[in-house]
Amino acid sequence: MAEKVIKKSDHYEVEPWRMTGYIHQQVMNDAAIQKIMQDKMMYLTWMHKQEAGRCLPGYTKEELES
Amino acid sequence: MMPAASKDCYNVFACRHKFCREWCPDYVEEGNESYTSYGYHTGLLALSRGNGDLSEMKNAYIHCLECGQCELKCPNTMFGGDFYRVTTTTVDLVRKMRRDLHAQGIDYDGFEEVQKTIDDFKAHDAGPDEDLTSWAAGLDLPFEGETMMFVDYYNAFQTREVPIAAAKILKAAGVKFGILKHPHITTGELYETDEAAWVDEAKKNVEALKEAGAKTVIVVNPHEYSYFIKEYPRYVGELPFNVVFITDYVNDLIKAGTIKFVKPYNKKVTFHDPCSLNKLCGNYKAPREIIAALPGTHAEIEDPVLQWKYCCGNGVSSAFRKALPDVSYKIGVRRLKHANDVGAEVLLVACPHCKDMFAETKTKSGINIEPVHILEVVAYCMGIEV
Repeated sequence: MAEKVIKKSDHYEVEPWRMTGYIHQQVMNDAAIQKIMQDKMMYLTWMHKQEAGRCLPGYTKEELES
Repeated sequence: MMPAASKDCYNVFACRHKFCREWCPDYVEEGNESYTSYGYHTGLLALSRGNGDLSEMKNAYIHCLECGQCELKCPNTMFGGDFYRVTTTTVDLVRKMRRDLHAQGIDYDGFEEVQKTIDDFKAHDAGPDEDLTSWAAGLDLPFEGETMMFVDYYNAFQTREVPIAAAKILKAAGVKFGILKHPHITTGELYETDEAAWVDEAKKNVEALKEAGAKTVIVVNPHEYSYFIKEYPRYVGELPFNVVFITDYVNDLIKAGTIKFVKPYNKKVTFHDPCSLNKLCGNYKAPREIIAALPGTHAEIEDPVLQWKYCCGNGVSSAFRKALPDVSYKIGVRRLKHANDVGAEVLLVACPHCKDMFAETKTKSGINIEPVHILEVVAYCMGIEV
């Protein structure tokens, strides 16, 4: 990746030092983060059901370069 | 206005998607964008730049159910919140603005009803302990235990059948639990009027539960459940006990086989997710699993995502219902009509406020659907008289 990010067990996060200038991070516990991820997946799943019969996976790096 | 708050408001103003208004129950009825998350943040941004006066906000911030739909659907939260640890916090903003306006003597129309509720609850708090636990008469519940059931004032005085059903279900399942001799005020109306007083009551509740020996606290009202798990830790730090909502606890008992059903509930039902449980806490599975386990029941329940756009009309702090009864009614009618449209005879709820609101809306509108609390049905199928 061009930018460095922190990789947690199931999601990525921005390096905290980048959030000390214009906008500061909120105090959030793991449960709050998990809720955001759950809500996101629920919403996208629901949207996909409305809009598409099937969702195609993205290309892998190897497929793009071949 | 503080620079940080101004930047947060700019974040929402700059969004332009306005997903917040699509499913805002108040916006769907009133069509006034000033009363959406977008409107609230933009209005404050304008104030911070010297455009307008705080008094112009007098009746703005009461037009919010605090259901949390706008927060979770905002792209700032949904698509960036877990990455940046920055989210849209409209409910916090609305609560703060209601407090700040009240502190300036700028109260919204209808505030007298809300103040009356606060005064009533303070009178209960100052009254004899026996009144606070009179709902449990004849149940022989101790005032201590590793498992404690927290019963708030609304349940204790308005919708007693709910904690009574909960207590009888747990007793029949062989669960040893206690209740507080003197629970303290938890109501949202106090939280958004006098934060310090509410926090004081919160600390008393936590201390009382700790002294009673609680390792697990079962909460019967989803409003209080959202306060325990989202608000209390802000003021008291990590809670010294686990908090579980009653439907999660009952569902675990059903799965473990300690709750047995002896008669069917032969009705076509649907389920209304409480805003405070589904939208604010992301908790939606247990009620569905309980309903699936009920014998004889035919259920038609929507996706919890679709339920983000509904509300019973009460509001998480109940101030909305008191100050805006007409809008509250329209929101409730929309939900009841939809429940009717899916062919249900019974609308199951997991919140005493929803039950009370839907009962009132059903009576006024004549819509033919019965709101019933899920615990009452569980008790019925267990053969328990509530």
